[in-house]
Parts: sequence; C-alpha cells; structure tokens
Amino acid sequence: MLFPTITFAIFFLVVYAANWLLMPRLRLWKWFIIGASYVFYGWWDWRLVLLLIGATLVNQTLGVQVHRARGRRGSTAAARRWVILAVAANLCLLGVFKYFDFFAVNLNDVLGALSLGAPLPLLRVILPVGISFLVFRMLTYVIDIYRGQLAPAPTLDYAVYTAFFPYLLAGPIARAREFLPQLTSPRDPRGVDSSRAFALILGGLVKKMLIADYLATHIVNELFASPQTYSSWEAFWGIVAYSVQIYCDFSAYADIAIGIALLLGFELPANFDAPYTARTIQDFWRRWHITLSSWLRDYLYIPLGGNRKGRGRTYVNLVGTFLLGGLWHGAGWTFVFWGLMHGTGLALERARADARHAGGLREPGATAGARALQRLAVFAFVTVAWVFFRAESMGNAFAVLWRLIAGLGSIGTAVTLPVVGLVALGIAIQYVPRRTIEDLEAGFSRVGWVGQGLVLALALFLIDVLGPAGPAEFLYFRF
Amino acid sequence: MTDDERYAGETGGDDRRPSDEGADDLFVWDGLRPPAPGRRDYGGAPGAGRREDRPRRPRDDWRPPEHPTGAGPAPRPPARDGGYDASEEWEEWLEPEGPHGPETIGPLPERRKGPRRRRLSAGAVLLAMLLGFFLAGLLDARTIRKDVEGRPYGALRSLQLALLAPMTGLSGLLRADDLGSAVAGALGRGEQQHHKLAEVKKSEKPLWPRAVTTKRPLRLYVAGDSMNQVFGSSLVNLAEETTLVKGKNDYHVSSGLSRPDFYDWPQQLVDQIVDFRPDAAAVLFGANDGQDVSYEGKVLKVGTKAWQDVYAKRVGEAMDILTRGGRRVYWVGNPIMKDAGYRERIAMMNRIYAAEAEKRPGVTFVSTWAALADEKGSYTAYLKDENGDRTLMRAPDGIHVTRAGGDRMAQVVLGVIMKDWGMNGRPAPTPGT
Repeated sequence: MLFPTITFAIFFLVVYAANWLLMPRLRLWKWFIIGASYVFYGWWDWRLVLLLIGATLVNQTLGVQVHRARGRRGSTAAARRWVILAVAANLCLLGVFKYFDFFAVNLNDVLGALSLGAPLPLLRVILPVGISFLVFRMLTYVIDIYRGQLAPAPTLDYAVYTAFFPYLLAGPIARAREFLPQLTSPRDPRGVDSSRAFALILGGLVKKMLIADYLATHIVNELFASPQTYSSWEAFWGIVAYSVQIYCDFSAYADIAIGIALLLGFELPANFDAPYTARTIQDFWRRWHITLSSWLRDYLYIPLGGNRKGRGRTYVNLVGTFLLGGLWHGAGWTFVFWGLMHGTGLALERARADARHAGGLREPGATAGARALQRLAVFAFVTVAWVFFRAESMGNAFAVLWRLIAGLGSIGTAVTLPVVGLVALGIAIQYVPRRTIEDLEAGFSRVGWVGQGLVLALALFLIDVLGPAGPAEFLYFRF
Repeated sequence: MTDDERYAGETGGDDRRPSDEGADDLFVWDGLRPPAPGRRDYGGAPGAGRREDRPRRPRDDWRPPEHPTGAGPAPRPPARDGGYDASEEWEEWLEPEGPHGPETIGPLPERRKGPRRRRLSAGAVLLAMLLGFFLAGLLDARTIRKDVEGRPYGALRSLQLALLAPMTGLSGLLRADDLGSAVAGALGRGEQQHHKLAEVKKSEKPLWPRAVTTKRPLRLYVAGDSMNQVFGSSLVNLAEETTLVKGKNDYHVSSGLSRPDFYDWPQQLVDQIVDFRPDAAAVLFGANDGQDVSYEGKVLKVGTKAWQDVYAKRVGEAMDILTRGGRRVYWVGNPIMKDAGYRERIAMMNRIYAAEAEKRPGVTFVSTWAALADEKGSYTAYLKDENGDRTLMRAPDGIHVTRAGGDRMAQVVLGVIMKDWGMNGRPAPTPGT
C-alpha cells in the first residue's frame, strides 16, 4: 500500500479512529495495530506477512535466549553463541532474499573463468519489500539485549515493533530500545501533535509528488535510459536533478512515516537534516539517512574497531563499513562502488584532518566563502556518487558521466524552466532555518482543527492537481 | 521505576558492562559511552503516555528484567588501554554537532527549545482530517472519479464508485468540481488539446520504401506500457546507434488497449503521429490488458470469445491509426512470462496481434517470446549473453525485463526493422558497443 493513494487515506482514517478508541485497552490495541500493519504489508503480497511473522517469532526466541544466557554475570560464551546465531539467522534471511543470486552469478562467472564449471542454481525469489529495514531493526533488538542495553520485550510488544506500518517499508530504522518503551503505556489522546504531523505529511507529499516525480519523469529517467541522446548541458542538469530527486523522494517517505506515527501518538527518530548543506562528507552522513548511518556506526564500525586501533585501521574500517553500507542498498556492483566512493571519501577526509591536526594547522571553513566552497564540493562529490547509485550498471554510470564532456556543442531541450526551478527549490528548502519551520508549525498549530482541516484540503487538492497521474513507488522501497 | 527503565536492560549498571568480558568481543559496547535510554522520559513528553490515569498493566504486558537498574545518567566509562577516550569516538564519527545519537529520537526541539505548538485532541484531529479529505474530495471529485473508474472492473471498483457517488453528486450540485477544474486549468493542468484523426494525412512522398540516410533518418515512434520503459529505450538506443534512426519512446505505466477509459491510447497515437511525424512505429501492449473490458455497456470477462473479439477490434483500430498515411508498423509481441495463468493470457493476446497484423499490409508482428525463453522454451530469468555469461534478463515480478532483457528484445525487433528498410548494409548494433 502506497502512502499517497486514496486507498491508504481510507485505510488510515479507519486505523486512526480505531487506534485512539482502542488505546485505553492497550493489549487489545496491540493486537489491532499488528493486524492493521499486516494488512498494510500483505497488500503487496500476503506471503510477506508469513515471512514477517516467522522472522518476528525467531528473533523473539533468540532474544530471550540471549538474555537468559547472559544471566547475572553479564556476557557469557553461551550468550555470545546465541547472538551470533541470531545475527547469522538475520543475515541469512537477507542473504537468501536479496543477495543469493548476486553472489551466485559472480561466483559462477569466476568458476567459469577458471573452467571449474559447476554453476550454482539461481533462486530468483521475490524480494520482500523493505526487508533490509526489517532485518536492521530486528538486529538492534538481539544485539542490544546481548549488550545489556535492553531487556526482552513481551512477544506482543515485539510483534508491534517489527510490524508497525508507518516505518515498515522504508524506515526510519527505529531501534528497539527507542520504540519499545513507547508501548508500555497508552498514548495520550488529549495531546496529538497534529500541526507538526500534518506539516511533515504535506511537506513530504510536496517533495515526493511535485518535485521528485516531476524531475524523474522529465529528465532523470530518460537521461539514464538513453544517455547518448543528451547534451552536456542536459546531462549536467539531469545528474543534479537526480541528487534532488533522491533527497525529495526518500526524505519525503521518512517525513510522512514520522508524521503518520505522530498522529497515532508515537515518535520516530529523525532521518534527514538538510543533507545538502553539509560541509564535509562526514557531516553529510550526519544528515543523510541518519538512522542508517548511526546504525552502521554502532553495529558495524565500532565492532570493527572504530578508531581505536590506529589510524590505518580506522581508514580501513571506514571504507569497509561503507562498502557494506553500499551493498545494503542493493545487490550490485554499482552500489558497492557507491559505498566505496563514500568510504574512501570519508577516509581521505579523516586522513587530511589527521594531517592538519598533526601539523597544527587551523581547521578550514572559517570564512563564509570557504564554507560555501566546502558545501559546493561536498554536493558535487555526493552528486557524482549518486550517478553510480542510480545507474543500471557501471557502464551506464560512465556513459552518463561521459555525456558531461561528450555532449558539448548543443543545448538540447530537456532543461526547462520547471526542471531548473524544482532543482533549485529542492536544494533551497534545505537552507530554510529550522527556527522558521518551527515558527510556521507553531502558527499552524494555533488555527485549530477547522483551520488545519482547511489547509489540509487546499494542500491535498493542489498536490493532486499539480502532481503526476498515478503514484510512483518510493525509491527506497527496493532496499 | 519508569517504563524506560524496564526496557533499559543493564545499561545503567556500568559494573556489569559486557565489555568486561573482553575487548575482542564482537558486539560489546567497547569502551563507548553507553546510550542511556533510561534518561529519556518517553512518558513525560507531550503526546506520550499518561502516568496518573494509566490503566492497569495487562498481566503479560511486561515482566521486569532480571536485573533492573537504577535510572539517571550513565556514568562515563573509563578510557581504555592506549588512552582511548569514549567521547572521541562520538565526536570523530558523527556526533559533534548532530543531535542524532542513537539515544536521540523523535522531534528535535529537545536540543533547542522552539516555539510551543498547541496540540489537539485525537477527536479534533479526526475532524480536521475528515474536513480536509471531504473538501479536497469536493474540489477534486472529477479527477478522483476518473481515477477510480480506470481501475479493474470488480466488486472493489463498484464499492469505491458507490462510496464516491454522494461526493461527486454534491460536488456537482455545489459546482465545486467546476471550481476545481478552473483552478487546475489556471495552473496549466486543465484538459489537454488533442489532434484529430483527420489531421493524419498521407505524405506526398511515400513513407516506405525509401532510402534511409544519416541526413534523412528513419523516424521511429515506440509506444507501449511499462514494458517499454526498458524495452522501448533499448530499442531507441540501439536503433540510434546506427545513426540512421531518430527514435522516440513513449510509454505510460499501467496502460493498455483494454481500458481506453483509463488511458486513451488511440488519441495519444494520433497526437504523436501529428507531432512527431514518424515513418514507422514499434508498439508493445498487453501486459495490463488481461482484464475485463467494458463494451456497449456490458462488462466482458477476460479471455471469453466476446472479450477476444472486442480486444481484436481495439488492436485493429490502433493498427489502422498507425498505418494511416502509409506508415510501417512493427507490432511487438510480449515475451514469455513466469506465472502460468498470466503466460496463457499473454500468449492469447500475442495470437490476436499476429492475426490482426496478418490482415493489414504494412503491419508486421514481431515475436519476442522465444528470445527470452530457455532452450526448452520455458521461462527463465537468466540467459547467456554474447560472452556466454549468465545474465539476468527479467525483473523479480517475472513480467518486466532488465536492461539486458530489453536489449535482447530490441535486437530482435531492430533486425526486422533494418531488414524492412533495407538497412542491411549496416550490421545491427549489439548492446554495449
């Protein structure tokens, strides 16, 4: 079920009303929200619900086992065995559904090149939507129990956590220890933060339907499908447009998910914070897909040794973390290369900072001009990296980048005023001060339910009129 | 004890930190400042759980962990061997300016007090949403109705239309739909201007046969549904590599010939012929056409004889539009599909295309069925490419094609086009060259 559809609007109205009616009877509410979430997920394919239920029960069992094995003395060898089993089970789930064919094809190619033959069978199983997000959420549960930061939740609570429909398909990756405490008492129906929720939902719809989808259909898709027909000027704008498209698409989903959860009385972690205003790649990853980057930090980078094992190892850890982070996005060499670019960028940035620190040099970026240049450089780097993220193959990515040089001499017709305007708008909205947004939300909160309803009506009408016919899937569903 | 403490495990008890077990432990919180969920008061934030009037906790709702710990800020762990400072890790990775440590969740005002927002009761929010949806529905009634009407025939569509009826009736009564249409028109999203079939005229020089040159390339219009997103662009790319073709790919997701009420392809074909002036067209439909159709007020069940007759008529009409004026048409059949029932329907439609093409000079049916089947003629997601490497040809849905699959189909179709237009002097390009 897609958020920007009439079907979801009807579904949500029913769920919203039942949510607050059942809230005083918390146990009943939990059963209800699990059922509603399964309907939401099963809308794609009912078999996915069976997978979700199975994964929930297995992880809950393993989480309890880890906790029991920890006993009173803290971490034990038995607990460690259980947590390794849990991690392996979750990675197997991801591996079978998402990566098996990728590795089988590449291994077969290698074996074939060595004349060893014996090709592995290719499963070609359906990729359950949102499975990467699901697995990462479930991993936080068992690992945090192992670390002693979380006690196992009742199975019913855990089932709500794994299935909660606002974040089920594309995040944010709410951690078990962030979300589960919110299930221990009923949410307060007297204080729904509707102004912020509506602002997030409407802002998300504008970003998705008016900016991202327009740029996708008017320049980006065709540029990546047939790069050879585009001029340098068009290729430049098409590449920048994809940068804006992916931000407006993915952050829109997160905003809508957070807004919907707020209406139901729950808080989800923020996932974006004006990423294209970043002055360093490190800063970019503090602002882009925050719940993923902090997940990678806490469950991958730090266990790898973080920055505790010397400079060289730190750089290796950074590159390794982002290589795997790239692979998390998809089973393909383009994603691996995208991760490699970011990992290498972070490592180089770190090495440069280390060298400056050792030489006693001042940190750059003291002047406004220098800061602007830093932002431009980071945006350019991130934008070029997105080409690999978007492309169907490495060849396709290089073909698109090659047009920046090979297409000189003509202007073309793809770069229109709306394209340039929406690219500029998609970047400009990230420079709006947070205080201004907060003031607007506060002002919106004072108009009461009638005022909010009127704004909602006008905004929904305009979004539908100006948006594309028929909803397009969110990009991050495939991850 | 707060709720958060109940879930907090042993975080607060620094003396029981798992890192005591050994620094090489894979998942230990190795010397870092442990996150302290117990510090946050989830229940205290507006919108969170009520404390005073909280109902009695259901019996199995929660059981305290074996080692409940005290609340309060977690003590900072000591620096590890080698002078490692826990805070350094945070600062150097992601933390310094960002508010988004793992223990930071939810809206941001916690770090910087913003203006206070007034909150509404859940009932008032429901009223706001109902008002918003109702008014937006009144203004947008025509578009919503058109959207619902374009959905597959069945009980769900009928139910949705029945639910919409009062809304569209009221909208018409209040002239709200007129207001909505006027606003849409003012924003440049009104009704499109279309060309008429009479505007598609025979050109003075014959469109075919003629010599195709770089200066006077073959203008190829490629049309279809979502299959064309990849196949169409593959065909245009490969064709343009000959430098003898100028192509245009025109696809509309979820569309087809079964449901002109959802997307009016005959009209779109007329518009594109007038605007793009193609010499030839390659079209691929059918992926969405295996559904009931409405004809002369009756809904015809997909696959029945009556359905096949109506579908053949619509296919024939599209062919007649495209061939008007002497244009060559290459009607591309769909490739083999994964699902058995769906595959049967696609095969049935391919037979209709072939039969209708047979009736019309200038229309060639091009089958791609076998191009994406294995040596036994069965469905396969992987086929060997030119280098003998097994390559993914199909999307996970078993319907759409990957770029390699699109290229393979395009090669078949382009071969037919090049032969038809006497471009055999040039070798058909292969993907990736």
